[in-house]
Amino acid sequence: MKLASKELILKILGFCALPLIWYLMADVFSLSSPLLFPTLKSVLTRLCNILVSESFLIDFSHTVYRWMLGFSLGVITGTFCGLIVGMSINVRKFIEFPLEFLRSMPVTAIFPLFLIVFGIGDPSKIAMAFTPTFLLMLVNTSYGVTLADITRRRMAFVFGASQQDIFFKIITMDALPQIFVGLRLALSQSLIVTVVSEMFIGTDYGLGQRVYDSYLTNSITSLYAFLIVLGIIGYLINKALLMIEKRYIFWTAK
Amino acid sequence: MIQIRNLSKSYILKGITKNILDNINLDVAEHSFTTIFGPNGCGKSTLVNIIAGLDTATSGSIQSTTDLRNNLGYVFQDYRRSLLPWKSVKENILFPLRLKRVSNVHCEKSLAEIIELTGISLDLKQNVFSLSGGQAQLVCILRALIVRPKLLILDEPFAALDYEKTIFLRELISSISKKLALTVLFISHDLDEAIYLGDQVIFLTNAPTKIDNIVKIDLPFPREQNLTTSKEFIIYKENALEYVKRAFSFN
Repeated sequence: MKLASKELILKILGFCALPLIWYLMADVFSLSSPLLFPTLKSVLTRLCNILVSESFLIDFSHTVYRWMLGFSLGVITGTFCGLIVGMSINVRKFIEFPLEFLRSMPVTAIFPLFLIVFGIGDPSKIAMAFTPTFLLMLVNTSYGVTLADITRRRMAFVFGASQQDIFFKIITMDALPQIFVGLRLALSQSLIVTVVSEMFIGTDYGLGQRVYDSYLTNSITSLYAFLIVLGIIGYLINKALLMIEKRYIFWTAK
Repeated sequence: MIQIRNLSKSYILKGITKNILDNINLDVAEHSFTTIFGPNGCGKSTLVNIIAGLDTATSGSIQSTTDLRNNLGYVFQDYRRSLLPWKSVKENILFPLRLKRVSNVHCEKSLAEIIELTGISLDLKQNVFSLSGGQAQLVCILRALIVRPKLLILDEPFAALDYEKTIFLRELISSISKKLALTVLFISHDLDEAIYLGDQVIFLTNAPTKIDNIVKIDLPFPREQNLTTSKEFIIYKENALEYVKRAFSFN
């Protein structure tokens, strides 16, 4: 069997394994209480109903708006600051302690602080998505800049590159793979924090709020259906980013 | 072309001054091929890096009849890491011209000319990360030559290549340097290579590095690999071995 087709079969099996186990346990053998672990069929039916409902689009767009705004702001500012930190050993030493301190603090634990500063509206949720993104981008970008190959910098210098050329054409390009590592980590972290902030802080619209509502109303099939939706969103966005990475950072896999 | 006078280099490590280069005096004539031979870690690369402007001397002077900053080609020992993996073979070769904002038409013309002059054939669209060691080094050589440098520095360019590739590239560098009338500084820790390529061989001592001897090699060009088995070559090598024995135990 060819390696590619073997890989494809394994991927399909991996994709089917979880639903199959669920189906056998809940639908066929009824091994657990439907209140705790509903049948796959009922969850999928509920999922279809949610996906075609008008309210889903509103919840989805609100969550994505908070997530993407926080994420984008974090990426822009974090990458910019990371480039500065990476370029200067003095700034790096100066920022080391505060950065490590902030990174060690779970963002979800400081959500009351966000409430005090930004209130209970969207700004606090966006700020919560922004924070881990900013920190992850700052750390990974500065790390990428620090690791940028010295031989390439010297080569560019020898051939007459200005400091600006070396920064944009060598250092930034060399840092790109590590910047993408930060992007992927930040993307999933910011989604988690956005959903958690919607659950903790509360909102009229948002997928996190729907998950929490389902829990409060004991609607277990809805709870599972919303969790599947969140899983699919995270998975697809991560896959899209991986495809972009493969297309534009093609040399890192070699 | 290049006059190096009383050049010294030292640095302070944990409060202790470490001398790398000690009072180097050297003349490099225009269109000459100078090989620099010395033990590992003696400061050969430091010397050429100072000439190239990549490092600074603690004292002494380097004078040149041409502006080295704009007339320099450099082939690094770590050739793979000197290439830009996000660019194709063609764009890596053209990189120095792109830095000088040379027009596309002129870039294409320069590329065609240098390929014709050197006789090197490469798949220009290929990504550099998929090249073999020898091909990657050819890209580096073309990149150094495309600026039509007056001075070409090669820092142990064949150290990581197999014997077959090394032989091929030695002959290529030897013929190109004469064809393009280049002034070449070539670092080597291979005695055969140093004699085979050079018009003159500079023998360096262990650190703190001094010049132990400068030997003129009066062997005819073009040189081919069978020269290394000739009587004249062996005499040069026997004499050189004496300098090496003395130079390496200089201190």
